[in-house]
Amino acid sequence: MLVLTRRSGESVIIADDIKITVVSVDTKAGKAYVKLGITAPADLKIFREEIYEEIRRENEAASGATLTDFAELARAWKQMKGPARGRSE
Amino acid sequence: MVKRGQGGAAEQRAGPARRGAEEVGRVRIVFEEGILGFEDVREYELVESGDPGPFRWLRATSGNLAFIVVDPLLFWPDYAPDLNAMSPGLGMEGRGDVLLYVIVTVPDDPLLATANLFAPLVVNARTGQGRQVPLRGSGFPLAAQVFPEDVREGKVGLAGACPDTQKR
Repeated sequence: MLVLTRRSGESVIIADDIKITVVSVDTKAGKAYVKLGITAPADLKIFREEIYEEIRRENEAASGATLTDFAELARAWKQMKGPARGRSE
Repeated sequence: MVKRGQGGAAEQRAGPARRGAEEVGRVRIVFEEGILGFEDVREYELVESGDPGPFRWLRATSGNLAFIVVDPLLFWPDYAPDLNAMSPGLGMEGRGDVLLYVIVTVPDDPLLATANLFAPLVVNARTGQGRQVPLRGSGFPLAAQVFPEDVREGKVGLAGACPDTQKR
């Protein structure tokens, strides 16, 4: 991993069109945190790593569904009344 | 929108549809980037089974990977993420081009199933290209209860008979 030291207000450039700026460095409740500003093309996906991890975990949990689960969902759907169910008819 | 099952099928007792059997229709979808956690799997088919209701299988064309998905608008009529802003590059010009599904997670008690409204599956109906799109900053939940309280409460009566079905 490339490690660079940057001060508040300084930036790094990646591949011509991505710029990451250290907006501020601060401490809250004894923990250091860094605020980053990112300039990049709109179609580039940028996420906090935890968000990816949460989606990954949820996908993995969902991937274990069984035929019985499916049938149970269908059965529960039949019990549904009211506007949500009405929309499907 | 994928065509719903026949009325006759809806009257049948719900039973586990066998793989390959009781399939009403299927649509091929390619997720070029895969689905998070399953990046190596790109080709799926959306399978409409003989079971009644809006649920579908999103099944990898090879291997055993499969997800249960559903059209979110049937359960959350106000769910209207700004998909064009969130998924540039899918080439969707009009709303008619978009198929929107959410992945359903089924815990031990299926009545407590949740759907991932935060990262829906967006599919270009013309090209069959799909992508899981995290809705950054939208506030949509990763695990929204699929069934309303009255249906879930139906479970409360059953829960006495099966006390260990509540664990996720």
